[in-house]
Amino acid sequence: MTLLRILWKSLWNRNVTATLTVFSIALSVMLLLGIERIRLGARESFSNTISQTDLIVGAKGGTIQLLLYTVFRMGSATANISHETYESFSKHPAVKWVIPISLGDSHRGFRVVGTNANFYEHYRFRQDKRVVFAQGRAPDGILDVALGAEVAEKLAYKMGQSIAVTHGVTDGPGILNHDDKPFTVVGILGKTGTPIDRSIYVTLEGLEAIHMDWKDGAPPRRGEEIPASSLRKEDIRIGQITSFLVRTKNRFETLGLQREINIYEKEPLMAIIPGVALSELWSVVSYAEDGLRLVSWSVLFVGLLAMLIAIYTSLQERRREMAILRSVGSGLPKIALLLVAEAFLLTFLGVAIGISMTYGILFVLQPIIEGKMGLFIPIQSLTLLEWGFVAAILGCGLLIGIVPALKAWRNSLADGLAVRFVLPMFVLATSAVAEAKPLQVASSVSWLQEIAKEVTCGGQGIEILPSLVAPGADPHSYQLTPKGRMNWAKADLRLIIGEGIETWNEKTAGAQNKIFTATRGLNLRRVDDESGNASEGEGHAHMHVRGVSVFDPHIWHSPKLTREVALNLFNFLAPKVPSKRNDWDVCMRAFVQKTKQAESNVHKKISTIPSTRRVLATNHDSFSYFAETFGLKVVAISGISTEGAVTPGRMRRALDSIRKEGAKAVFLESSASPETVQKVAAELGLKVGGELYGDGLSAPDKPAGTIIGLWEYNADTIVAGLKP
Amino acid sequence: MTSVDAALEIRDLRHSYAENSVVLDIPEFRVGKGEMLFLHGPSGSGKTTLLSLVTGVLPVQSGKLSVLGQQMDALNASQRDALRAAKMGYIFQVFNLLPFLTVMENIQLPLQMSRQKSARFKNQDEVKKNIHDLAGRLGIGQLLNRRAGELSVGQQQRVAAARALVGEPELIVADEPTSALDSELRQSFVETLFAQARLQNSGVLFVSHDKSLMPLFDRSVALSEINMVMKGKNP
Repeated sequence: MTLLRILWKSLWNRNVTATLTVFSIALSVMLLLGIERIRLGARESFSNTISQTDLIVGAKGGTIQLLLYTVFRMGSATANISHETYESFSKHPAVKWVIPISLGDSHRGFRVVGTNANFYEHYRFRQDKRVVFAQGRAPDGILDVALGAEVAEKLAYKMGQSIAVTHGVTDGPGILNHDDKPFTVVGILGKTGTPIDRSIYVTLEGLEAIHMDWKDGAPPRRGEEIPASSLRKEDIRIGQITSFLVRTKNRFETLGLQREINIYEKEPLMAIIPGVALSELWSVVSYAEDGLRLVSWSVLFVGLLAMLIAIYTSLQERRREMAILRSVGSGLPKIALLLVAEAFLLTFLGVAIGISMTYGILFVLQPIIEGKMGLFIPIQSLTLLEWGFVAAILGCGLLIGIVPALKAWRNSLADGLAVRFVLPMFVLATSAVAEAKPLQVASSVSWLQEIAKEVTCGGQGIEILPSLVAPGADPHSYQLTPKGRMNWAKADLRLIIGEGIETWNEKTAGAQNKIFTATRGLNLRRVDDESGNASEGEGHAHMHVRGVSVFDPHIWHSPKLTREVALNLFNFLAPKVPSKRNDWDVCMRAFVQKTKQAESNVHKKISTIPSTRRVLATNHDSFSYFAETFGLKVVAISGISTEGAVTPGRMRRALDSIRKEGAKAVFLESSASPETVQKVAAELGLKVGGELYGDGLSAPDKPAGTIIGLWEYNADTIVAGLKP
Repeated sequence: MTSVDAALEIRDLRHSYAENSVVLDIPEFRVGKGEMLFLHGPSGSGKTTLLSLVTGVLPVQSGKLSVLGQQMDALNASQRDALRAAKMGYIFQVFNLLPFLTVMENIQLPLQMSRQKSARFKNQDEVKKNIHDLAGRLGIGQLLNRRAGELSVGQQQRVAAARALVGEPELIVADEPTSALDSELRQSFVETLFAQARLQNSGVLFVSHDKSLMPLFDRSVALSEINMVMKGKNP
């Protein structure tokens, strides 16, 4: 039960191959059963060419010959029988009805059959089907003719058409035509799927009439012809017919009657039982049937072989599956059983689908085949023989399953619990190798490291090294620890802010192509002298690269830019560790969500400050992004870099602008000198606000140790300092 | 001679795959029940062979091997399979799970293979509840309905640990289970495994070449010390 469920899921996991295998078996089964059905149908049609006739009576000769010319309209009789004999048997007490058959002439290769009304009334085929007229009526007048369905169709004859009968049986246009007495088409028979369709029917009198003026099998000499107009049915006396069909009143009398006919003294006669003769004839043609069956068995063999190949080749990649099952306690026999069961299941499904498809197709095609080919294929439950086939196929499936089962047994014995990694190369490359020794990623600053960590789910499948500038340290000093340098040097990938901000990067060793600029494509704030609150001169060292004023690097103060960096890092790192892409994607989205939540929190906090008081005076220009996002006005005490000294001139200008903007407090910055701030505050009579984190994250254990923590912390400090 | 409180007792155990190529020769070795043992050795030191013998996948060729009080050398293949199913849990280095089953189904596998393990639970609901609790403690509680193939390696190893732990086997055998994990995850994996193993009194036989994990264990043994074949080759 359990094993079966595992088997099913395992197969489902390989559903493409499994489906193909099942279908190849299903198609083979369908072909086998289909051919069997057609064979049965052909045989049925054949033996049902004539029904309800108990005896066929003709001149003495071969039994199959009599059957052929009477029923199948093939070959010809060696002798005729007299009409008197026919008459006398038709009145025989044991006889229910008789149908006379008179042959010998043809029209364009189709036999002309002389018969009487009994034929249309009593003749039966396929158990109880009778001859019906698609158009018109049965021939009654001497020169009336009815066409079999195929004749009418092939020769495209219409009702009322006049046709001449050819003497003897010839293909195509005749030589000796009875064209002096043309027949008129009065009826066209419905399709029967039997030789009836390929014959032309006239009355016995009609056949007699066209031969009346003939002598010894030759056309009448000139002047001796009897004109058609003078013929009258009553005047015609029928001399001979070819054979006749007999139905006895009581079928027990058939054998007695047959004997009686066979020893008939007045004339050498022969009576045959159609069923017996038909099966005798069928055995002659059955080699064709055997040939067909051979073909379908071959197809089935190929189908089963395909299954063997499919299962066998899957074994290699399923060694892991086997080892896992072994590890939880499966014995070798169970594993072998699993494979035999798999083969059996595939075969079973194939057989079931094959049978359904056979019936489905039969259902659709049966009327079409019957209409077009006259072949009636019965829709019935499987015959005993067919059940035999099904059992044989299932047996073969089971046997075939033993082959991979033995192989798996040997594999498992050799592998034990050691899982052989015979997996496709790409699996090895992305999971086994890449994850065994993860890529190492170094970041220049701690906030980049944090984002890298966030988007990789805390460093799943990748190693996020500590940042080059330690958290809490002043990035302006570029005091790199030996450990930081080492990490930076050994890292496989390096993340930098870019835009020339990391001037020290040039001093560290390593190939440039391993470096990724995290701010790629971001719309950063440009710092220039007109902005009023930006740097001047040597103001902000890291905003200056070789004397050119560039970008504001305090990106992590902006929730929006932080998100963009996260996306950049994800897009850069995910292709390097494809197996982690999906996991990382979730983490990246979660991080983005967190920043959005925090952004709205900070908005709420800042909104508690009356709008006129939202002026942020600090001694270092780090808060432009933050101020822009949350609607604060920034007044920096310009020119006061973390490292530079304050000249009296600059101090005066700073004091002026702070006064002008109406700042209510002056804030300290973690990396700047508090003396300057305190001096300014004292000069202007303002209060000293709390300490803000401007140039980097605090040490990890402090509240501003993360980017989001830093926003919230700074917001709280600003609110506390500015609220009335 | 087998003591009741030994998870593993070896005396003069020798194994060779071909004549004149002995891979394992252990005169004496013993692991107590419930002991957390760290067995380290480089590849080729006979680790895999020893684990195969302990788990009963390979038959004992010569010497005495007693696992959880059972003389492995006296059992036939199917009895050894049954012992493994009933009393052991196994964690592979990587690729532990049947990727087409859910995490829940993977964890349930041992219960379906062993009456003894499943007999601890009255019904299917109890099984589910137990696995939920176990998975929660291993930090994979929210993954139970995911397909195992979708998990990260770290998550897969935790699921493998859960599968080894389910049904409270007496011995958990782990073959380099952390080698595919990031260094940060290794320690937490071992700690989580131990916490649960201690809770249910399962001993752990942990094979690894990563000696940084050694301090977490009750005892650590170098395979080269006990395997005479390796003695001197890998000091």
